[in-house]
Amino acid sequence: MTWTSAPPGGRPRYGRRDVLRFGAVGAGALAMASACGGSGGSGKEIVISQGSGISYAALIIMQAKGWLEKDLPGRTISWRTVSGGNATRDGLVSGKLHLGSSGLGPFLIGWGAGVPWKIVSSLNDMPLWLVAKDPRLRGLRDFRPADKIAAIAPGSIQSVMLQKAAQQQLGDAHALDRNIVSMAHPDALQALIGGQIAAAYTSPPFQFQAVEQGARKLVDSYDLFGPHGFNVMVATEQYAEKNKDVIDAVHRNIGKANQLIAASPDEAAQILSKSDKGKVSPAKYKEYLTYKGIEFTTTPHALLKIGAFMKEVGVVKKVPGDWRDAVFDTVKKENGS
Amino acid sequence: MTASTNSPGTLAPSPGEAEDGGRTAGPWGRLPTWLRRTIVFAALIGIWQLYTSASGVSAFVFSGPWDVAKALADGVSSGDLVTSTWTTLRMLGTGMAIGIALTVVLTVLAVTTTLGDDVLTLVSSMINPLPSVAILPLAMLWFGLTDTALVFVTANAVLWPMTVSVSMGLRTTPPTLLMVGRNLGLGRWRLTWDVMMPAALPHALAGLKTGWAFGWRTIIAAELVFGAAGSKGGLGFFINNARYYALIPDVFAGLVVIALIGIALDLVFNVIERRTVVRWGMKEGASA
Repeated sequence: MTWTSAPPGGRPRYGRRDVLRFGAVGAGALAMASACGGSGGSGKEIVISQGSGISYAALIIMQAKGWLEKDLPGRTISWRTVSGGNATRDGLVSGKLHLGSSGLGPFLIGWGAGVPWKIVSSLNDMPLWLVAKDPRLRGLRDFRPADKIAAIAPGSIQSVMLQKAAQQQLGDAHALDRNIVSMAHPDALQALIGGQIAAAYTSPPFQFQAVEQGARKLVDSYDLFGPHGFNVMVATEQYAEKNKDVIDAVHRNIGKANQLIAASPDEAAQILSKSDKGKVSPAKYKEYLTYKGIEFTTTPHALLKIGAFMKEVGVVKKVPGDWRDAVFDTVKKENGS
Repeated sequence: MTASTNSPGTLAPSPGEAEDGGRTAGPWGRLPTWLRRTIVFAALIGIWQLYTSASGVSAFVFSGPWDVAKALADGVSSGDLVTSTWTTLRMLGTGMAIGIALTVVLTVLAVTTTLGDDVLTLVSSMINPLPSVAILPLAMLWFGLTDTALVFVTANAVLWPMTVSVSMGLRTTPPTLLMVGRNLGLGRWRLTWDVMMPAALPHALAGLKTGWAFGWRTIIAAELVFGAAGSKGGLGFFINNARYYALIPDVFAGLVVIALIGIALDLVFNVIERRTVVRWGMKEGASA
């Protein structure tokens, strides 16, 4: 054991403890490095993220029918539910996800910041509403600093719509930025009905459910931008390059599911109701799916219009010059905007 | 950033440190402390920069020190970072003030009455192990998403660790001092105020240090939970916001500010300790 103690007067030597110490530091650094690296890959497993709401109807139908498994034999497909595009971005960048859903807001922010991702397919066009319950709140002018607005997160498509509405009604796009709180749609609905937040900028069907429970619509995104895309499926360029078959299959099956929703909304509503264990009846789901203005399409719409506004108010620095710059070959030939 | 993981006192140079703890004084050990610390700090920054530029890690996962410094400068000059820091510190200050006031009341009640002692022992042993952030959902239910909810959680984080150390200090007052006090004919209140309180000062200061550390971590965590910080956003909000807008250097800048404030406040407490309990010989040198 003499070698563990330093020799008197001499040059200090490294004892066992020092070795352990350096080893621990090295292992920590390695662990960090490996945790930060790694994305893409072409393993057998495909991990896909989705959010909550009928925006993901095509994905839910695809899962129920097992279409992806049929088209991609030998691969296992697992699904994760996330609150929004930011979570999908984190998952894709860290390599924990291979494909994911994102609203147009987080997608454009990531694209502008240099995240190497593109759109595999759009999911739908949907009107997004700001709803409030307190009778005092009639317009954006009535919001005080303490009146919280749930909008998924800063930078979400919902918060972009709020900024557009604030620009129109208050003259300052950022007037309500600090009122935004980050909440997933189901939590936001609950918090709105429970009175913990003043308003919620959510999505179908949560906005419809809020109105059913006594809230009022204050803003409709179709009044701001006209019909526009809501959620898109994204993947990193690296993954798409190595797994062309996967992104093709995802795009093709979203189209197939969209046709099913259009052709037999009854069957689609049945599947959705079954997937949430009957919490919402098939009849209600049919009503939501066929709501005026909702269109299930693989083609991204109004990407450039929304991007231009985000650039105008300083949310992003760089936007695609052509909508085709932000999509993969899967949808390039479609009639997007 | 590494400095925050060191024990705070060791930041200050202290004579004879090189020889303590059985460590040997090699050529490295004979250098002045400030020089050693500066070299280590510079080396860490160097490794950081080297890692970001050499490993090819993407810029939206990990930022280099240069980008972070730029983000820090931008944040300070635009005022965003300053406002956020001020908001957080103001809420921390309010929470701590409430926590300290309640600590004094509760501990005095505990040492002067038996019932108070029973209640405090029971309550603090029940609530102290609970991370204060865990009651944030309740606080939001009671107070809404307001400053009050955050102040409540912070005060709660400060209160219990402080009561534990202060009542420990009051309980361990040397019996000789107490007997002298009684011989002088001091009543219960004066005995508490003039004898026990000063005797408990080292523990009270240690409690304050733990209390602020708990409060600081709690308020940042609480702000991060819902990305909401009352009417104005604090540092947690700043970090969350930067993440949502994919401004990763800003996320790092926010973390640097949190670490710097941590170091600064720890230094303040060390100075207070050195000026009071260490100088009065009630505690071995705080910085050794």
